Formats: sequence, structure tokens, C-alpha cells
Amino acid sequence: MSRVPHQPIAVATELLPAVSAQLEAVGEDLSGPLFGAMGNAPELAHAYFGFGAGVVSRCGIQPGLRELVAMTVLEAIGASNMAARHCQLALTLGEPEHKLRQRHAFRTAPEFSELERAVLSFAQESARDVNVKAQTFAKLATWFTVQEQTALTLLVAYYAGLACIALPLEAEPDFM
Amino acid sequence: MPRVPILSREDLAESDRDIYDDYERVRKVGPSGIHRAIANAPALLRAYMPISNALRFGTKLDPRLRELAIVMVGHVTHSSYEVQAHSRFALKEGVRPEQLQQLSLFESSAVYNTTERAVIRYAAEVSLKGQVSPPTFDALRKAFSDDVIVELALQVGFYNSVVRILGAFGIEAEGPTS
Repeated sequence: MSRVPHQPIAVATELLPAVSAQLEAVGEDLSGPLFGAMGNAPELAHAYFGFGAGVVSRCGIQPGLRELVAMTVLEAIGASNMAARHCQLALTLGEPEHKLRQRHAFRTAPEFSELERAVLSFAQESARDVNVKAQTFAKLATWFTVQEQTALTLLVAYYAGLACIALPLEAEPDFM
Repeated sequence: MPRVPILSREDLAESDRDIYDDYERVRKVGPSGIHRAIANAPALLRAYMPISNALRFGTKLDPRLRELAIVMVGHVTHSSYEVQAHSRFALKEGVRPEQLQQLSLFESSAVYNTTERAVIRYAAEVSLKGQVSPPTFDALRKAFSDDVIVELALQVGFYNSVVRILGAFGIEAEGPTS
């Protein structure tokens, strides 16, 4: 049970498809605990949805890796239920189950490519330590343009911020 | 030294320059370093600015408390840029200089009242641990209605995103922080 009451949010028509798609994909809807809690400040929640929809849809990495990034960030901050939802989504997007089980060993497990290792190292370090070492960020440049590095940075930051909203409000979704 | 280019208006495609124009219209100053870095992905700067502006201009939360919370996020995450930029905003909003100087001692220092201490404690705990203890949340309940608590939660959450953007891009304070 969240620490604040749930309030329904009216999402602007132009954002509804993107927001609904994100929520439905992880078994949520607009009355779910996180979005219901954020509904106490509907204008802010609306703007936050716009930010999230933009970041998730334009992050420039393939959807399976995007979900691995989300899981890595959320787990690093302690949002295990949210991470579990993204794990479900990764499965539906075609990521192999054995690979997802190996995600905590991404630095050495053979299921992960060098590109994935660079991305997940960056995501984990950013989530856990906030300030990222120069060499960690520099590795991204091997595979990504500056625009893509920027988009990936915002994706990681978005999920870190989302965890920092959901956890203190006790508004994580229930474990599936 | 920033790890991504810090873009001027002229660096942007003509079709994206309206983002900087809107920024100046709303904020009365030019885009700051973090926004000029995010401009490397213009579509994402477009997605970022509405929530950034809404948190700055569209909340019921006392702006002094907002800025104390943001400076504390920067303080505990060692984000020199965040501390420097928002210390300036804090002073403009009426935060006293000694309140910025004694943030490390907020639990015991006499320069804070009960509500300020509750807000600072919330910002510190979220930024350090991701979550907050029941007494910390209960202190907010005594001071604020649910909508203002959620505003504070969104402020602190969003600025935990901001410090990670700064920490990835290597954007640091431009001068001495005090």
C-alpha cells in the first residue's frame, strides 16, 4: 500500500498511446500504484509522463537491451519489483530467459556482447555511484554517436529518478 | 571538461533552435550547461524541458524548501554543479547563507526549523538509500498535504536523474563552490 492515496490521472491524448503501451507492457495501467501516487500532483505527473515516453521511445538502443538497462538501474537502487516487471517485458521482447538469469554477471557471462557490457557497466555505475568514471563513459563512444550517448544517459537517469520516486512513496507495483 | 559537446544555439539545426528560444522566454536566461549538453539529442531536450519547467514554476511547495531539497541532493551525491547552481537559486528564494553552509549538520544545527529539517532529511535519505524511513515520511505528513508530498517526491526523484546526467557528462561547477 502506497504512503499516499491513489488519484487517477488524465493523460493528454497525444501521450496516451506511448504511456499506455509502456504501462500495459509491464502489466500496469493508469490506476497502478506508482502512477496513482503521482496522480496527487497531476500536472507534474503529466509532464513526467512526457519525459519518460520521450526517453524510452528515443533511447536509440534495441528494446531488449533497453529493458536490461532498466533492470540494471532499478536493481542497483533497490526497486526490485519494478525490475521484475521489466524482466517480464524483456522476455516478451525476445530476450532469452537464460540470458536474463545471467544479467548480474554481465561483465563475464558469454551471453553478453562487448556493446552490452559497456552499456550495462555504464548503467550500473551511474545508478549506484551517480558520478561515472571517464573510462566507463568513453567506452560508449566505441559503439554510439554523441546523440546516442546522450539518449542512453537520459534513459539511465530517467529510471534512476523513477526508482527514487516509487521507493519512498512505497508505490512500486506488486511482485508478479 | 564535459564529455559531450556543450551546444550553442548556432550549433543546433535551425528546426531545433526554438528549444533555446522557448527556454529564454520562460526562464529569462540562456540554457545552462546541462541543457546545452542534452541538446545533443534535441528530441530529448524537448521531452525534458516540460517537467524541468513544471518542477521550477508549477508547484505549491515553498520554493525555499524546494531549493534546500535540491541542494541536498547535489550535496550528498557530490554533484558540484548542482550544488553551485541551486545554491544561487536558493539564496534568491530566501534561503539564508548559513543554511547552505551547514547542510552537513542539518540534524543538529539550529539554523533549520522542523519542516526544513524534514525536507532535507527526505532528500538526503532518498539520494543515499533510494528510500526513506517511516519517521522521515511521517515528518513530511505532519508538515504537508498529500499533493505537496508528491511534489517533493517528484522534485527529489527528478534531481536524482539530473545529478546522474551531470555525473555521466562530467559537468562540474564552473568556479569555486562555497
